[in-house]
Amino acid sequence: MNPLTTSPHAHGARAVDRVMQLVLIALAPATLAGFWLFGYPALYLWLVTVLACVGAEALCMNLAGRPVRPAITDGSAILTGWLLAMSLPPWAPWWIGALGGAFAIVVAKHAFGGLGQNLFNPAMAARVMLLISFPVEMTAWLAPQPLAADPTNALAALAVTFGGGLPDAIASASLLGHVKTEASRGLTLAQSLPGQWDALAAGFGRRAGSLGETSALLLAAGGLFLVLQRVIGLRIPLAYLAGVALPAAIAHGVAPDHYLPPLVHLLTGGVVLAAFFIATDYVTSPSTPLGQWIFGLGCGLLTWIIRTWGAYPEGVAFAVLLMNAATPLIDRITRPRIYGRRRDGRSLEPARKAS
Amino acid sequence: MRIGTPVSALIAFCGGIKEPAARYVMGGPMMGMALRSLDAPVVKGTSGILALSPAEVGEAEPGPCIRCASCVDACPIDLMPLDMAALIRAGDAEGALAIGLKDCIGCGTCSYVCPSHIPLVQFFNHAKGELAARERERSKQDTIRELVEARALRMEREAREKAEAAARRKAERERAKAAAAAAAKAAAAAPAALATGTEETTA
Repeated sequence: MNPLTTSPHAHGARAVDRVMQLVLIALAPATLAGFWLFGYPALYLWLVTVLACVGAEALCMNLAGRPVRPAITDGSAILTGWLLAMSLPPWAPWWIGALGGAFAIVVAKHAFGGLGQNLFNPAMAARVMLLISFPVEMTAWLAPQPLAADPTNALAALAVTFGGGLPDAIASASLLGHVKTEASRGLTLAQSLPGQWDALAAGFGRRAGSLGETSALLLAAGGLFLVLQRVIGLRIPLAYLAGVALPAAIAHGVAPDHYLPPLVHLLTGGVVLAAFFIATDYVTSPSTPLGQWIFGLGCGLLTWIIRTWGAYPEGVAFAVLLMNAATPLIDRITRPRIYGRRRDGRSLEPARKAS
Repeated sequence: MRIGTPVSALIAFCGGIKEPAARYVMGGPMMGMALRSLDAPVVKGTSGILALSPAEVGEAEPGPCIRCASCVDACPIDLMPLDMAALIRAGDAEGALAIGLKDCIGCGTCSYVCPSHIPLVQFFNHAKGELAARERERSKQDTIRELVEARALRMEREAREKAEAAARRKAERERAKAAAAAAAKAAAAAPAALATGTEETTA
């Protein structure tokens, strides 16, 4: 008998690797939809990014002299690579995925101490690094090119991913980028939006955008699966969506010509992906219930502010990183009231008996 | 059943072990004590004996904390076990105390729900023991200091009393000596008078 055994003598939780597997399962439908919509280049890019993350994880653990196998099999590196790939332009060249994956694991995760220690969401840190360093490659959007379509067969697609990237001929603007460009030319939404926007198509992902963030409905379904499996709570996703939708609704109500309606905000860009899969990252989001509401609302509000007034058309990654930075502070000031104590830690007065 | 019955006898009475047990526990699965030997006796508070299979124990190597906050959701006292454990791991038991270590009831729910198998409640019990030991050490040192101070006071008082007593005795001796001297003087004077008297009477 092992002499060092302490209570509890039973264990009830899902192990970490099982949690990660469930998240990967929840991501799968939207990812497959991304492959279907954008063809083989998307598949190749996804593969390269995930492999880069797993390779970097193995390298870092090896350098640190820590066991490599459990770090690979727990699925956290795969998840980081997968989420990063979801947020990349689908026809980006292979080195974008490889560089981003390596940056996510080496700089954003292992420089801070590995699993559980990182301050910033690795996938979003890598995305922001890529966006700032390679703005051309990172904004090369294209309209969906179904898997079956001619220029996207498996071999020709290799030339896209491992060759020159997106051919200019089929480049297309994302909706948020288009609106921003038109607004800078002085056009109102009433002039720039019609013909560009179709809620149903956006919901199913038939729009230009990142590899895995276009099909909002499939992402939401995956997110709800995670909620039902009790892998994530509803606080951060709901707060995030509300944080985007409420200010958007107010601003659109006041000046419909200048501010996009809330539905456009929710169904474009990476809001749904971020609300269910990225902002809910355990490590970089607050642990307290109140803190999670604040975090979600802050992410949503910042996303809307950056989209509306910022220099970039999309603000999800910046918003998540900013709120990541605030997470330790939020955790500290929203610590729950301890049972039998006041919020400031003094004990409660014993109740006086009515005489 | 009598207090003092060996656990092995109790198990034999119940029909023995059907499959090899990974762990024997006295009490419940959440807060019971692992038994190191089946020769342990049944004591007054024994509520039951558990023979747990490896699957029931679910033992695994602890992994890194992924901050999933399962423990925060599970804690019946609304503590933040993950932060407390991180502070204790870093050797800062006082920091853990400041965020509610002493309010922890040691129920073990946090360890039960931890996906990384971190023995959270063991951290807290360790830190509580550490703080109690420090408290005992401090009160021991306080007691020693008080005793030393009391001894110094007592020695001082005794020395003073001794000195006073010596002075008193010396004064007494002086007084006695002076009295004796006075008596001698008086005695010396008296015989003279007596002598004169006698002279007179004899004269």
